[in-house]
Amino acid sequence: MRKTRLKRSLSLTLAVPLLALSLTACGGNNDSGTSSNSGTTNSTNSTNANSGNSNESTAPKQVTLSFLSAWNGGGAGFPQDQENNPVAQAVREKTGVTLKLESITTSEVEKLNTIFASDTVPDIVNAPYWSTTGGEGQVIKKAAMEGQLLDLTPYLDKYPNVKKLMTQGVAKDFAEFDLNSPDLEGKQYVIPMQTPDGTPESIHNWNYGLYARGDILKALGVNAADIDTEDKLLELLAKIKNGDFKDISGKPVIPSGTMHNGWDYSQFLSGWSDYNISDFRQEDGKLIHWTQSKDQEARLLYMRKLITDGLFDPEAFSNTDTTAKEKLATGKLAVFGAQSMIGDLQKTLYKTNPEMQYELLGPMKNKSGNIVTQVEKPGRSGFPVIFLSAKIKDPDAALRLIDYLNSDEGRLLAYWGIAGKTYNMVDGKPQWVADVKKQFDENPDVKRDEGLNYLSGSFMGAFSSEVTWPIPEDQKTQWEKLEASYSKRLPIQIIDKVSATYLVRDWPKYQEFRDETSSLNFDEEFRKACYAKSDDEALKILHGIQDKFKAAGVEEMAAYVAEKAAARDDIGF
Amino acid sequence: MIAKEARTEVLPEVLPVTKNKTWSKVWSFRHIYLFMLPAFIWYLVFCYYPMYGVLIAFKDFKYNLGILGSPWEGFRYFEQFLSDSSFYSVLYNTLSISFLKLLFGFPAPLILALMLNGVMHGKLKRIFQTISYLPHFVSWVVVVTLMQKILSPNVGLVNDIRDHMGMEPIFFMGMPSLFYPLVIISDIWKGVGWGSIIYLAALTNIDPHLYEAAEMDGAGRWSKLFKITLPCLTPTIGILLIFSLSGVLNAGFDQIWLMQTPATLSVSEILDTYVLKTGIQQGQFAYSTAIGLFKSAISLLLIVLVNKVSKKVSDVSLW
Repeated sequence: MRKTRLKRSLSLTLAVPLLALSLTACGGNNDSGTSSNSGTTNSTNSTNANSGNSNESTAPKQVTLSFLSAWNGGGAGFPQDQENNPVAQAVREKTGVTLKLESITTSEVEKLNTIFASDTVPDIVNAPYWSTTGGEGQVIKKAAMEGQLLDLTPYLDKYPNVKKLMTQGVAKDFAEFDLNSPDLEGKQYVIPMQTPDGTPESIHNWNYGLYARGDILKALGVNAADIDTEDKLLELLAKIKNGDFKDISGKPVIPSGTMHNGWDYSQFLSGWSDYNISDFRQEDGKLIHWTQSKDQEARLLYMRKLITDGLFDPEAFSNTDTTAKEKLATGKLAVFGAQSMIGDLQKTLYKTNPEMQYELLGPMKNKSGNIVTQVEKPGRSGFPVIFLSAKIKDPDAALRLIDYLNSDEGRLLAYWGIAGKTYNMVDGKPQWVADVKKQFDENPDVKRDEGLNYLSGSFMGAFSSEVTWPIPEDQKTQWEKLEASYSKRLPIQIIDKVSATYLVRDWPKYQEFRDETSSLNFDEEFRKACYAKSDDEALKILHGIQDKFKAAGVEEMAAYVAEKAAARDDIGF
Repeated sequence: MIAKEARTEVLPEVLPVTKNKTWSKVWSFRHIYLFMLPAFIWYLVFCYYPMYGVLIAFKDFKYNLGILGSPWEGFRYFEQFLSDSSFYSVLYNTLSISFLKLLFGFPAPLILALMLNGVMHGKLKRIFQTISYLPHFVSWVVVVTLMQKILSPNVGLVNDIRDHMGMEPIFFMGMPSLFYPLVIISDIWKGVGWGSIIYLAALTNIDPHLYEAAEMDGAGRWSKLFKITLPCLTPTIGILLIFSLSGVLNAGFDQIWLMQTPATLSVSEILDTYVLKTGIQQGQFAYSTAIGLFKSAISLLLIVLVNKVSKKVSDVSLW
């Protein structure tokens, strides 16, 4: 009897902890999954940090909110100490909000689909919102209509700075058809970010172009400004290939390439671009959808020539963010197409090998003979947006934070840091403390860790720091001067028209067309064609995807848009 | 005597007053069942409970209505997939990769096991075994990254050697004609050691007297292999073949996804990668679930068929 009891006790002693262990293990997995993402679990940390002190009654309620930057590489501006950097501490003091930051290094649309489908939307999300008819914008709109996003409409009157963000710097047609799409039934779910303050000067210039290593251009005796057509570019790349140039480790350079996943190979094809604000093009007196343009053949064959002649990095379309930056930092790419990438280069290549500093080619000319440049409407059409989870426990805390950051005081804090420590007010304008500025200029990571990059990059709208606080020439760093010199050469073109793309939404077969084309990926087919065995096969792939769009009714759609556009005088293509 | 005492001591206490013998047995072994409980719960929660998610394939999935609440769509997504212009190329690629893996990858562990078995020296055998197992524990991310580094046209070792020999660099990972060989070679390299374990275990079960008798009859190495070893391994080979055929539509998601480039897309788009692209990247959850379910249904059909044929032909079967 005693033995049996002993056995039973032993068995239970073993079994119960094992069972408990396995259950807690399951629970642990579950928790880690939700706690990093779920609004429900993250927004519950509501203890009053100031309890006990004299300001208890006026101190803001302490709340921890999860924040996702749904941008590939969006965490680059996050400080090392997320919660206790000086700016975060000041924000907590003012608003009571502590942010738990998360970012991604993969596809934005993939991440958005995942958080919505798994019901793990963080409290606050910043994500791309270029249009509601495709990509990320379409995903966000679906989520809004299906209850995953918080309707902000009832809160707006309480937060005037947030309310201002909803309209200022937003293009009229985009506001009407995308931001406040009729499908959303008058509810507002997203807050525009990185919008201009309403003046043309405040529209951000992204400086997209082709950049070539300065020492290589010098060795070849080529003037960067002279390379302004596709033919001249081809000639330059061939010279680079035959020039036996090396990277910083003595290995052969790649004549040209891009950043991650082929971003932005279209810079190599800018000769076929035009000043477009819609999905439609006027060719041979007829309106066509961009997929049907005859330029597509020429673009494809040019890209193929770059690849088959060994003038373009064959790995460009499969580069990760890390491998692409590694190529950049080692001077491996003789020419690259993207933005100027000064933020990365000033910390790496420009420090170790200043002679290799990249120079802006051209600027390139497009098929109309005009400089290839950034085309904008008076307000911005498509921008990053902030949305809140429908399950956020304390929406007021999130809106309090956004409202504060977009106040005069909040903007000063986000861009300039702590008064007296990092900046001083001189004649009503902030100026960096000299020693601090020196540190920031020498090592941009110091500025990042001070907390001066992440809030201004993700939470600001309807504002331009450059316009409000222009940096005097004598206080600019060489990199700021360099960036400004690119901007001068790449002027922004403003077209004050309504985009023809919006006319298509009344087309009776529009939904049918979208269903038919939802699984078609023109860019993926184009890239595939770039690597086809022969030009004929490549053209076959191109025509194949064009035919699929045709079968879905793209020509009928363009005809409908042409008819609608003819009846108005404010439509731009 | 002690055992008898123990039995007489236990039985009256543990057996409840019931006529149900099964439950009586379960109750008498309750402590053992308690050990099984965590595994049972794990299967229930992580393997069976999520299976209701396949309902999405028949529904127009809405976030706010959830899987059960979303409206039914019938077989719309299955029809859409079968009429999709990508269907045939995706299916063709999946089957091609799977059959090539089966053709070259299935016999490889058997051959390795036979070779290892032939290494008489115990220590040497263990060293070979350990080396051959190691790749199994390296994730596909690491393997493919290594392949990319070694085969890179820009910084890769192979192209460096070619460069020194005055030859033009080759973008190995971007050549459709090399995609299948690279997939199969890397798959064999990674799985051959691990796959040989079962065969090595089966080899130890062969009665050594059979070999002794064969030697006395003058049998050589090859005769023993074909007359004793392989016939004795036939049931194991049969079972493993049935398992492999059931997974013929699993061409290896991790490996293919990581190795895929725009240049090889025409030969590398398989059902699993297509599911990910349409599902997570394009947000067509119902459509991609339908493709996944289609794949599972075909696999189930295959395992039943192959099992039946195998039972008829060779008496080897899973059930």
